[in-house]
Amino acid sequence: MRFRLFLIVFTVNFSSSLDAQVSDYIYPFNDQPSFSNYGTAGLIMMPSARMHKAGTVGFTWSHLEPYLRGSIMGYPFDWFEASYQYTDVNNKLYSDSPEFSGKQSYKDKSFDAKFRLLKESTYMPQLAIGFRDFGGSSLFAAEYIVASKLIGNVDFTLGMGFGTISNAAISNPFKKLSPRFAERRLDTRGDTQGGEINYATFLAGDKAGIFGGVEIFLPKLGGTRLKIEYDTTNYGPDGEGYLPVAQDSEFNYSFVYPVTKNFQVKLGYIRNNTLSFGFSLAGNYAGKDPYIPKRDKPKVVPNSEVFKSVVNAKEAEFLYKSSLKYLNESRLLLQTAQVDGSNYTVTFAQSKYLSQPVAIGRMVRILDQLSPELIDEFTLININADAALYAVDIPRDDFNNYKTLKKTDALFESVKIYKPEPDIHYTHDYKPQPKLPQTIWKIAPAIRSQIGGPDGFYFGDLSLSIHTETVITRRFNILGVGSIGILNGFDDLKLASDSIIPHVRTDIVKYLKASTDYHITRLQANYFSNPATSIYTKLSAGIFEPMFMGYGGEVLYKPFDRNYGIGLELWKVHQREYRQLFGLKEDRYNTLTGHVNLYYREPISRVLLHIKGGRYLAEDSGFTFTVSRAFKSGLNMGVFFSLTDISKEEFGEGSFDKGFFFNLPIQVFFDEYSRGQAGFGLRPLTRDGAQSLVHAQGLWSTTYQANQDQIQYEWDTFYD
Amino acid sequence: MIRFLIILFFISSCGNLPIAYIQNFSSVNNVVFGFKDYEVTNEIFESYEYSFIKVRFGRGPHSILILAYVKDDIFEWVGEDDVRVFTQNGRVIKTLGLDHNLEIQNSREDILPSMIDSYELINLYNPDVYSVTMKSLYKSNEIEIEKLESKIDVLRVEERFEVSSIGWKDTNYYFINPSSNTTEKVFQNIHPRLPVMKVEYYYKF
Repeated sequence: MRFRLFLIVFTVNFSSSLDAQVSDYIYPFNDQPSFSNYGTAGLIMMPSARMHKAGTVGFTWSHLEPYLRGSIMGYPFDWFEASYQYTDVNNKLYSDSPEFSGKQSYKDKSFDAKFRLLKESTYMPQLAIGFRDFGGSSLFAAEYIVASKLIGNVDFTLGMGFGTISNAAISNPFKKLSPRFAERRLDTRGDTQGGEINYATFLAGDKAGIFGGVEIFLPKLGGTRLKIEYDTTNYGPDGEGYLPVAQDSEFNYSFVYPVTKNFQVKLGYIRNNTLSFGFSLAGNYAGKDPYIPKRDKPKVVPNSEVFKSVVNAKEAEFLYKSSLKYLNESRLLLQTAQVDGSNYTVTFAQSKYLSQPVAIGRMVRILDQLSPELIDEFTLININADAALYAVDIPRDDFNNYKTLKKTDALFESVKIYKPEPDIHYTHDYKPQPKLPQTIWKIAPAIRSQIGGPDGFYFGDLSLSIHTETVITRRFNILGVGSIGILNGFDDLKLASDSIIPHVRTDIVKYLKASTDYHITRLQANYFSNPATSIYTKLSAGIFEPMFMGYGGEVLYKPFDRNYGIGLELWKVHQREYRQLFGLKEDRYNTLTGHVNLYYREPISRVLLHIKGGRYLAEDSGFTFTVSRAFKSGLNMGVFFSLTDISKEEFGEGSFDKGFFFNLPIQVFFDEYSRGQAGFGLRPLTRDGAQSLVHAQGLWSTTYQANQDQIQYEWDTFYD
Repeated sequence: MIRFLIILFFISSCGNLPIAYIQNFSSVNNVVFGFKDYEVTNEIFESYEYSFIKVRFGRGPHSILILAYVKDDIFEWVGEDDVRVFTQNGRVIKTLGLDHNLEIQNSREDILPSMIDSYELINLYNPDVYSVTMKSLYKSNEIEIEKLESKIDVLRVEERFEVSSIGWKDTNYYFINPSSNTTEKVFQNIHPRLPVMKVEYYYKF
């Protein structure tokens, strides 16, 4: 009897497992949620409860008259979708004044957020609550509670919508909880400049709408999906957008075809009168090597047995010199070295590997091929700006024992990671002298863009940028960035600042237009020091950024074995001339700006909280809160907002500074290691309030590897 | 395609391009335009001590795999990252170490079978499916190809296959040299989630 039961259970489990795998071929990429025309994971116009995995970054574009919409979305957690929508509203001019608008149509910017409340299980649907356009003009403001459940090859969605996605078909059930929900009080925004979160409208209104739909995964059609939905969008005069749009049917239809796992195209028929089309691009970058395996293999030292047993066994000098040669060939730059009994210590600097354990692992492989048998432990010390940031003691036997099976966890148990004395490398026997000063340089194309202003959708210029770093001493360097214009597309850009506080940023148009021939972005001298184990300092002077030059410094207290840091920065800066050469702006605007910086990284989620408090460039005082999350690949995404002591009227449109950013390591797309990052940051509006000085090589990032938890987090890359 | 769009997105969205853009410029070219094919010249051929194959997926970079073992007429080719390709008369019958792998169970010995069609059982890995039936239909014609800086007349066998249970169908091509009765190259689809695998054979015996 038991055996029969076992057979039944086994057969059922095996069959379902087999079916699940076959279904992956019949419905390829069915684990990737698709996006709505609105730009978030959803049906066609309506949202769903679906989410992409944490670490996903995406872009969608859709065309559905009268709207053309581009969206950027990020998933810092499995339960949180954040997105930014940029909508071209084709049935309204940019401004009420036709002379001002010209032919430019209205552009709407909005933030959306969706939170998963319940994860889908065998019997329960996934449940989510979402907020559309919650901090902008409220042209598309809506809230919803939605459930999605996959049954067979059909994903069912049912939800309740408020605001612009309510067709007012039912009474709002939340009215029973509180009279607050009875009315959408948009007029509470009357005293603001827009851009504030409209809490009073959340889930409010006399009526609500019930929307729903299905996403049918069509078998053996390369993952094609058919979506059918009941659309409760209010297209009337009091609904979404500025002007009503004809709706001939509440049912919409759309096909989605996944060209690849990450790239989907879609074609739909909406409102029974309008074709829609678009695409989405979404990739998950959470893993350590998410896309392209690296072909850059650890170095194999030729004739290593001869080095080990004959040459380097004779004199430490030979070991030092061969280490210098072969490490440098791998761009692991030996700075000092010392043999002390059976321990071989090497100090190095490197700018090739994003992950420090990859660099350490590759160094040990080389040293293991060169070192005589008597060496049974390697100590590697990483230095940056002449400060010893961390040290790792690695037993040689354990390194070799775990190498074949890449047992990084086991190796971690036997290594010791610690913060050495800052100047320990000065005590070493072997100190090859680099030829200083030395300049490294690179030339790169540069594009400066202005998107979505009233003068036109896009303005930009193309230039050739020269990036230099001159190392005078190990602690003293000069950074330079200069550009020579190639193409100028700023001629028709005219929008002038309307700010009533010092124009520390809003004169951006003047800066762009005056600097198209050639300009200097940065010419910054830095002097670093590490006076105590956990204290780092930097003094800087010169041209810091396109708009400011001056002098100042930074101090950072960052204990190696803790997840926090405390910093202080103070700068005396002068505003630069629009031409962006060496002159100052005519009004000689200058100020003292400075902040206290508090950093805390939560070790499990890798969420970094950065609170910055002090005086900003426009002499307003307050705080900036930044929350970001880092992933194994190096992807970092986050949001920020600032609150300062200027009024909403002084701040202007948007009411307060806010935005989001993500930085993605370029190496995820290529088969070679590199530390380059592609960054994307966005503020809905450029204003003057809460603006900080931008200075290169800030201490928090320069010393990012001086943290035990960071090295432990990346340790599984040791044998890569 | 996706990498191309992502790169375009970042290029157009960044105020100043990151310095690493220059470092990777050649890689960007490769992503956009595909990797250049690498022609095996007589000189290169002579420089190898053992038989080898040149393998390329779609427009991707090429790899060289060296013949490691021959057992029961099955050739095992080994490359970097411990990728292993098993071939029988030039037809890929098993792969190991790729992101997605194939195994043909009890594969037929001849590329061009005597029957008009054939049925084989295959295993696919990641996602895993086992013992699914592959039906193949054949036709052939004579063409001329270029290899090792000379032209060769070959029999091109077209294999149209279908694995109906997972909705996968495509066409493979085998280029057989009738004078030596060896396969010169193949264009074989080994997995629905991989681009076509192009294999050129260079024997040293």
